[in-house]
Amino acid sequence: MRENELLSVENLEVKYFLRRSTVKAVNGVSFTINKGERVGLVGETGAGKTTTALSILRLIPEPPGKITNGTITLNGRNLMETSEKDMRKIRGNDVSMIFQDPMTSLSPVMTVGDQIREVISLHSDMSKAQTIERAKEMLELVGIPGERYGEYPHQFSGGMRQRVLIAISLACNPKLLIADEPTSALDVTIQAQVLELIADLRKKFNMSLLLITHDLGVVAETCDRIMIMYSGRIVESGPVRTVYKNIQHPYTVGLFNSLPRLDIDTDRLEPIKGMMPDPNDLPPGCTFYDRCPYVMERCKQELPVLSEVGEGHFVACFHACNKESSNG
Amino acid sequence: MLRYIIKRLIYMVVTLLATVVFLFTLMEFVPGDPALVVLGEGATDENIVAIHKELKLDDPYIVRLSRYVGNLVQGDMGNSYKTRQPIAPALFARLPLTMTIAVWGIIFGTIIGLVAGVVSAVKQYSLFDRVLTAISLFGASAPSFWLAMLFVLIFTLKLGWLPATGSYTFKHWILPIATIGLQASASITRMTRSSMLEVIRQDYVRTARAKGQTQFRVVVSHGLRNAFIPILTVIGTNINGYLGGTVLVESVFAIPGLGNYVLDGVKTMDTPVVLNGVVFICFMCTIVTFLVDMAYAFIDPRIKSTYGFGTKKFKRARLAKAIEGGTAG
Ligand SMILES: Nc1ncnc2c1ncn2[C@@H]1O[C@H](COP(=O)(O)OP(=O)(O)OP(=O)(O)O)[C@@H](O)[C@H]1O
Ligand SMILES: [Mg+2]
Repeated sequence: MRENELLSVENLEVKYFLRRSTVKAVNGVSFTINKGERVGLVGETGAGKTTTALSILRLIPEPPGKITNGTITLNGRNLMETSEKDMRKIRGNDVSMIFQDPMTSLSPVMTVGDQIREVISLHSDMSKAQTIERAKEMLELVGIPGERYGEYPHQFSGGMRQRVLIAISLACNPKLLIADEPTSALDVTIQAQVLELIADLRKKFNMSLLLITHDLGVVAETCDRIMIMYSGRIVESGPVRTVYKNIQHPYTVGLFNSLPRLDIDTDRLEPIKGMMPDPNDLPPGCTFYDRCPYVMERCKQELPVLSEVGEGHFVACFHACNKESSNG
Repeated sequence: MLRYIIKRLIYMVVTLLATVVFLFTLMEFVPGDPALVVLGEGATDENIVAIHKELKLDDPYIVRLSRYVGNLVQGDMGNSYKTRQPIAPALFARLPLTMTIAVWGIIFGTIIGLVAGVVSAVKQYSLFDRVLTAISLFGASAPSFWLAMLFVLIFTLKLGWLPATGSYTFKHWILPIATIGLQASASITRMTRSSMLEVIRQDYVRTARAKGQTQFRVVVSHGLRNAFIPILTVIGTNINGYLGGTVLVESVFAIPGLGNYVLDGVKTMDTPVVLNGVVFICFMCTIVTFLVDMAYAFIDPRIKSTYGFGTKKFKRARLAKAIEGGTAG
């Protein structure tokens, strides 16, 4: 284990065992997050981003889901061998998570203050009065007046609810914050505010951040490193600057091409053609082959593994690696 | 909140009044001369005329209706045709027996139903869940008198453990309460299970888990608390059902409760007894419904604040809106 490594995920595999089929949601994902590092996880819907994040907290709904392989290490501790009781001490305390939909992620029958207080009293020995004080402080910290402690979620807008959820997740100073598309359910005007709040508070508490998003622009602004996920695998990863300057994987290229650009005068956007393969029935080789413009015979048979093409820049693609080696 | 209470109270009074008028009118269609019921076999024509006069049976419908409602409001339910005794005291004397079996039955039914429903939902498709679903389907579809007779057959006649009828010691209460409890628990289990199944998939339950909350607290304080409104409705329906509907259970176990009192009235064509008995049961049902409505508001803050029991800030916002509306209009 390297000195400043906080989280390491190795060869993670998660499957959902349904009645008629088995969804291979995550298929051998490995990555690390260092202390204070900000990592963006990008990929289209169904790529397995949420599943990966939930695995870290061991919160995969089981059944039908199950972590079938892999190890997850947090601060040197193997989470796969940690008891459920000890996992509860980690959740909300060492690792916390902000979910996608603030409208449904708060209990409608509990005051927002009590929902913040709950996590504080779970992980500290404070008296009730102290936890209430602390919950009010957290509300103020995310920009909500402390006197709204006793109000219910239905009295708050979506953006404010997400602030409350941020307050919940930061109340115990976690070492790692996982934000799963924290703004995709919000109004565009609010999105930037919420992201900024997360970025500010992350800096203030010096946390590591795993930011899950669809938005490559957001990653460029808020992250140090990017990982691109496709049908349960990481296909490209590296420092944001390096990757953005020198995109290698055809899927990542496609993602960038489907972004609206102002600097180039094109008539229309170019979405990637085709669809992600059915996670019940993955091809033996590269899962991107039938959408790839550079597909070779080898891609259909053999699974490309991540290999380094530049300083910390990894790509899982035969085409990209060939190109690199022939160039260099 | 006050507005909510007042609204519910008005609703309650209107329902009750409509029920009274409806029932009174219904009794008009009971065939035969009430005087014959009063006098029994050897009635002479003179006696009949005298009774008609005494009971003012020949007044027009509307006069009798108003008189009835007027007396009822003052707590006077009139006399039984058969015994010539006042009905109200007789009803109140029988109330404790019915209440005992209904209330205890509901309490046990609710406890069993909640526990079974929650476990069933949390362990969906497990053996426990399957067995329980089968039992509660059976319990909900078996008629109560049939269940009561089954109990008597097993516990009294076969095993000889418990008495079926007789003076009221603890042992005598067990079978009637068990009958009602089991039946109530069936529908409460079913509703708890389905409501919990919906709730435990909600995002806020996942949020609670992500905080590090224990499984028990996640299920109870986040799950059950949110699942409770539809469950409460079923509990309310059950209470209402058993306030009047213990008739069958009371008659199997020969309990001289409200149900049997009304049943006797039916058998002897004693219309005032039937009318007032049913009105009284309806009255209690409306009170229960009112209490359930209050409980909704207590559980669900959204109902509370719809009726202006929000925080000060919320009230201010509404006031501001009202003023805005006023100036605009
Ligand atoms: N509870 C579940 N039961 C069955 N299948 C599931 C479950 N949760 C996720 N999946 C499947 O696992 C795969 C990965 O899902 P996941 O939610 O991790 O994707 P995602 O990358 O987070 O997508 P999105 O961007 O839409 O949130 C999908 O094919 C999805 O259908
Ligand atoms: Mg997701």
